[in-house]
Amino acid sequence: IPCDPWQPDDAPAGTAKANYVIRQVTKARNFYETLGVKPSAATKDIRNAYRQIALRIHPDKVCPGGGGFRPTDRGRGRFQVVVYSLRSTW
Amino acid sequence: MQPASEEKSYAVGIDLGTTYSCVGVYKDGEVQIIANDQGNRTTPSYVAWTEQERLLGDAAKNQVASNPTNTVFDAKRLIGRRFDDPIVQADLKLWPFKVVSDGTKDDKPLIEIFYQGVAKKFHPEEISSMILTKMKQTAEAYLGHRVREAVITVPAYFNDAQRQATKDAGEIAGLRVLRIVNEPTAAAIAYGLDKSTSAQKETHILVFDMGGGTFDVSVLAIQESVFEVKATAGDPHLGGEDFDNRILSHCIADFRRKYQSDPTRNQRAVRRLRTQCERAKRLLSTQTSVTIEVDSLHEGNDFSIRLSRAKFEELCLDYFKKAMEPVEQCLKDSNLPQKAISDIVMVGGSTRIPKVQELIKAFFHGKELCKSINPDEAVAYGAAVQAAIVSGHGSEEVQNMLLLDVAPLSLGIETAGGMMQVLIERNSTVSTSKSQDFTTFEDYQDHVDISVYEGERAMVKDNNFLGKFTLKDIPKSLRGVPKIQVTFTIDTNGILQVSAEDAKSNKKSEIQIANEKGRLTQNDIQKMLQEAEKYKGEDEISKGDMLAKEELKVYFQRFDKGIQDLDASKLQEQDRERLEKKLADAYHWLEHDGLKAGKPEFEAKQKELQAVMNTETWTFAGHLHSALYRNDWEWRAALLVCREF
Repeated sequence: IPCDPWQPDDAPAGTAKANYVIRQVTKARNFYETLGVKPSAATKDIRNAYRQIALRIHPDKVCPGGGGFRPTDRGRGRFQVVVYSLRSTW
Repeated sequence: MQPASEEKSYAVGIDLGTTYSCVGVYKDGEVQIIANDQGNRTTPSYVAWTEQERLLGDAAKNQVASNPTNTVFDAKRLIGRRFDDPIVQADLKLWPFKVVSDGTKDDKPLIEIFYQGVAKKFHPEEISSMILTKMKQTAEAYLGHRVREAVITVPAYFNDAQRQATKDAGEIAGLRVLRIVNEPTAAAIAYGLDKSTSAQKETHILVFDMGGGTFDVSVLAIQESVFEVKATAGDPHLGGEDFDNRILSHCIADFRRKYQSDPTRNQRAVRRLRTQCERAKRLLSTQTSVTIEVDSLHEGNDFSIRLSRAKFEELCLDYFKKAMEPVEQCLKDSNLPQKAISDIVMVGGSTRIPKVQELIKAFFHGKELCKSINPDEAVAYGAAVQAAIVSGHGSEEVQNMLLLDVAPLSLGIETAGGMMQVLIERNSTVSTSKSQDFTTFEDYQDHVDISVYEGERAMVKDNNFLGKFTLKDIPKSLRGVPKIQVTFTIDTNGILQVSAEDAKSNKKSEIQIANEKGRLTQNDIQKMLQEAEKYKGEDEISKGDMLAKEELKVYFQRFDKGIQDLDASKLQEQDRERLEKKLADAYHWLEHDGLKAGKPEFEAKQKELQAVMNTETWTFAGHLHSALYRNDWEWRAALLVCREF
């Protein structure tokens, strides 16, 4: 399975981590890449990666004020992709 | 990022309980649990109507014995349910207040009370909103600021309708509900912050939350500041009140045996007995036996019974055992072995019961329970933290926290043969969504009905009907040609949202979704909001009425005393008689017409008396006052009241 590992801290200087994560998740080719882990990663590491990503792009973090995503938001639905990926790599 | 706010505002966390509610706020880097005007950190979830006014909280609960039919509690057991729900029907028999159906096809329950001679009907949402208003006022009094936003907690096992109704109650109370949070999850935050070992390692905890009316179990994984719910289970109708009812039935049976008379129709007697039963239950958590005593309970008979802890446990054992099933279920759903649980967190008043502790301890093979957090306040504590997280007001520590909760029930749609097709499985992390394509099965069909259910059974008839969604204005074409993608989303509040899209045209707006979830419409909410505002005004008016009346009474007393104290040399007999007659008339007025008079009438009466006094007593006013008010301070105070002198 092709996979380039990444993590939220890799965000280049000047780019918000949330935006970087959303971009990475959007261009991911498979579940592993969505989470930024190697297919051989241990369950523990996969969960860890999932939490790090969740901390950046969970609706609570992206839109403070409790409003949740607006239909026009770019990151909308990305968190669900991440959750789905986690379930699938389980 | 934060909108420039014109005034400082706080978002509070409210634990809206079945029997008690609690409010907290995250301020200056820590959570404050706020005491109400009585100095209590929890407020009874009671609303009462007396002849003059509406009472909330402690004031309402304190007068329950003298006013049982107009004192409403347990609204949480009604909220989001239908009148014909067997649980509602069973509860009805135990409540002293009247509950009726609204008569529509939604069959919503309405609570009926008598206020100022008129029968008034309230939705459970309105009752809850009144309690929320009380909590909001408590917070406002403490903060000195208006409170407009809140996080409200619900039992994790509350279904869609109950969550939605709770959210509506918040709106009626004039609050923007930032989030509906599950109670055990909120408690877990309190636990996690308390520990705050900032361990890199993942720990698993089980939260056992048994309160006044509901019971929840959740298993969470905590790592650093991320709280992830793995599974949740529970019983939305199991708690301290059920234990009270068992003791109550036991006592009534005993009374019947002793005196051959039945007190169940005597609402006041039952209410007094129930209060004592509740007290006995609490005492039995610390002592091994207790005496329940009520003087002159019914038909002049005194009642007294000795209740041992063993007997209490025997009465409620089936309930206690029933509480272990969700624990097992929840562990199974979380895919964790028992020994992976590092702490068992006990939350809610009913977890003080020794037998409950014993059973859960036995279930975990003698593992010590975590009792380090306050079982009554933990939920409000966590809600306050979550309010800070989602409103973005909190400190750095809070801003780095994240809560990942789950949907407690599976969500699905009805398919051929009344089968349930599950779209979103239970214990899915929210928010989550699932899309499904629908098409037509007749030529030129322009609408499709979708029935949505929640529950775990295979047939829809065994599950809870959530509502019917109708896709309208489907472009006319041959059967099977339209492709409509419907997305079901469970949002972070655990509430279902449905959206539809024509896969061909990609146009969202063309297909309309008619929502028949049996919930209050936005119009209803607006109406209730206005009603609530009016009530708020009424409360204030009636408070003003009472004050004016008291002031008038004090005026009477002072004057009466003043006349009596003056000797004959200073006040002629005929003047004295006239003054006394005037005063007697005014007394009479207060006793009769005064009952339905308001502030303006009381003030007018006082003015009238003062005017009489003014003309009559101008000459000896100085004497009168020197007799009336012994010192300068009182004299000045009196001058403020009676300016005419």
